[in-house]
Amino acid sequence: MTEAGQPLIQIEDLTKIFYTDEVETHALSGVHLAIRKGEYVAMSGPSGCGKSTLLSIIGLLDTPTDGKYQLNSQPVENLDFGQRSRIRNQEIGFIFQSFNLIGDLTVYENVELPLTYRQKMPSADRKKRVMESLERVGMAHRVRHYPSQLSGGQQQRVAVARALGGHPSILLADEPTGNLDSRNGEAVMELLQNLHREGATICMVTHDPRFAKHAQREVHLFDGKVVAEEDLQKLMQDVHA
Amino acid sequence: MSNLIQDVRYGLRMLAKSPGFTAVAILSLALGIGANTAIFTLINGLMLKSLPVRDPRQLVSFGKGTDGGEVDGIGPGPLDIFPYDFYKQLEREHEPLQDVCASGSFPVRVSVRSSGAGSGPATQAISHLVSGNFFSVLGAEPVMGTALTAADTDAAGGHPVAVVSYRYWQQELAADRKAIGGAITINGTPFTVIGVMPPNFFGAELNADAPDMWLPLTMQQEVMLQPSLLNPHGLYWLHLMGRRKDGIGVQQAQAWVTNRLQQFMADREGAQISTQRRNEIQKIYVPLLPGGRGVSHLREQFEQPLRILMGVVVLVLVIACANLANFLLSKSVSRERELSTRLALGAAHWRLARQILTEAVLLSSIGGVLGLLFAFLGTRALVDFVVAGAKHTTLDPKPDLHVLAFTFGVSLLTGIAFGIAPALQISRMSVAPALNATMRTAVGAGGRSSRLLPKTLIIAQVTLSLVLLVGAGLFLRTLQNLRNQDFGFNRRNLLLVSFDPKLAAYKSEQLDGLYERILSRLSALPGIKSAAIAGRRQYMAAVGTPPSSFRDTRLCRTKISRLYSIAYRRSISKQSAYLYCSVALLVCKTLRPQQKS
Repeated sequence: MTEAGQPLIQIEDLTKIFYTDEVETHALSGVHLAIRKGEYVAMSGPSGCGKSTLLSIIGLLDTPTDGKYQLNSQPVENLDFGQRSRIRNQEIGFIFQSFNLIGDLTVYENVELPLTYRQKMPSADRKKRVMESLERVGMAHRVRHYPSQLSGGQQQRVAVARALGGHPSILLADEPTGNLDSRNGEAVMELLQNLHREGATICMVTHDPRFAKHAQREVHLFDGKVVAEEDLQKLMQDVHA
Repeated sequence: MSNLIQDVRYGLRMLAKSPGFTAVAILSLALGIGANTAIFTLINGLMLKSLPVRDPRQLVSFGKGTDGGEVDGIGPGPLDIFPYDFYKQLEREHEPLQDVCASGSFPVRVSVRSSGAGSGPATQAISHLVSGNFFSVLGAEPVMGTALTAADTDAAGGHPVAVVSYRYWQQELAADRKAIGGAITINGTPFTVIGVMPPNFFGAELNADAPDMWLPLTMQQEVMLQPSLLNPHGLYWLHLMGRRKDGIGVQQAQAWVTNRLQQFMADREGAQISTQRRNEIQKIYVPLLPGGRGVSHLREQFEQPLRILMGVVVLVLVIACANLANFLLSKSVSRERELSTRLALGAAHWRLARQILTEAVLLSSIGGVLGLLFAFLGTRALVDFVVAGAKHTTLDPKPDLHVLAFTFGVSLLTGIAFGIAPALQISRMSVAPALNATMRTAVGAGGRSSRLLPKTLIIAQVTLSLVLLVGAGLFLRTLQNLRNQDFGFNRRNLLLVSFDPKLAAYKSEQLDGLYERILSRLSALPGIKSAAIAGRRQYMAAVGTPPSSFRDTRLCRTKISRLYSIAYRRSISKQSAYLYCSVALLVCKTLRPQQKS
């Protein structure tokens, strides 16, 4: 839990450079970002601007090359893999573009999966949380189904339930509507909005301005930097010119 | 625990998802583990299992106990066969040992009529001549009746009593409790059955044929139908076994026994013993060896081949492991997205490695269970090969707790062996593919180092396979060479038949006439070119004395010489020396012209 007024996510001068053979790719250059508890932030920008890289670092799936990153007021930029795994499991809920449900697990088992990685959680608690999460997304009636027996929209709902099951501090959604038709996309966005209204902190990556509008705040990235909206328009025009 | 159950459930689901892969993997593992278990079952039965007696670790064998027969001249070196009067000396004075017992160094095939009047149908049985204290020294109790006691061997020919095996009691004496105290006629002499030993008891010798009965040493003449071996200065024909006293070391006991033996042999030679013979006797010694597993010439014969065979089947299993490891590696690449999703959701690397290992151990466990079935069938075939057609063998093909533990251990190790490579691969896996599908090939487990592991496994697999193939090729070549070896005589159309006239109650003085009749009748048969009769000495090892009727071999020497086109061959195995009392019929058969067409 963050102290009153303290951001949940605090990123300062973050840099990420990918090294491949002799080529250096600057994916992020001096990014500053703060996300407060209960906030719904959308990150947008053109393809290759560093949205997913930033989300990976926020989600502790990747480490920054330089800069500071605090989650719940704790520095997390230099943690080892095991520590990052534990924080990911307890503090962060992921919603992936392609759902990433495990095909050989039932809906129930998929939602339960992150909880099984917690060392001391009794199975009765797990069951309670799984059912609560599934009820929140309206999928409790499909617990015995496998992902292949569900529609895309239903699969994404199950993925949301999986993210919610661990009672995370923040939900990270990477293009959550990218693999859905517009109707199902809208339904998922509505679900995220409901969750936000219930108090969830959400950070969503999207390149679709329609869905970005659902967020409280929009963060624009361009060439690995956070830019203001009016600057983004100008930069985009320069690129096209 | 619930996580482990979940891993197992998921593992089973993954196996069911790829039935083809699962079937091939389980079958190859079952064959590998089954072969290992089969060989181990035999090794366990032949080399590791203790005698089913009281405190077997206290038992010591006087020498290896693998020589058998009736021997006269003893040369320098270790000794494991002794005369009756040396045993009687040790029976009286056995300071470092609690007691010493004796048994004939060879089984004696006898003719048995179960009716006391000696008029019932005759059957053949395998008997062992043993001292009266044999059962008490071994620490074996009968399940019914009594065992032999020292009083049963106090006078030659004085106590015609028999202790029978459980199998013999069940099959030949109809499992009748009244058989205890009943009479059976052995080689024409009535014996009283006094006890039945437990089902798993086979005496102190683990040989191809399980004994049917144990008879007093002092009944040797009646049982063997030949002159007494109990007289002073008699032949060496007994195996000895003792039970150590607490606190007495083996070296100390061995020195004491050797000293007594050398003294005994010197006394036996008399006052006119030559210096050379005295020196020879000084070089004769009795190694006291652990006797808890009994003595066995089968063990001596098959120990090394079984070890080699064990090495070969272990190599086969290693190849199967390498093969499966590569299979699992390729499967883990196809599961990269699933595994990186699990990592993203907070799984530690070790947790995923455990999942993979669980799946591998599940495969190997199922393979192990099936392998146990294969092993049971395979062990039967191996035992049949080892005991070479023995009717009732002491070797038990059934798996015991040791074998089950071995199979469980091998299955577990096998699972870990082929699961460890993909598990290691996972420990280096990145979580990025979970988030970005387009990065899968760039940051997944496809780096140079991860390609090295499958390559190494393939190289190991090919190398080991080549070693086995070359070994198998050389083995086959050797077999072919042995088949084509020139034995110095013409083996074409040669038939060999063994028979033992004494079991049909023929007396010694009747034998020459019997052999002449057999030969003349055989020679008269159409298709028989020539026939001859020989004691085994004519073509097998000579340790001991052939029966009296064969001391003069003029009867057959000429014919055998003609039959084989040679004079005599060197020994093959001295373990068959005890079979001198039987004879072999050699028939050189030619086909008649009409049969050729």
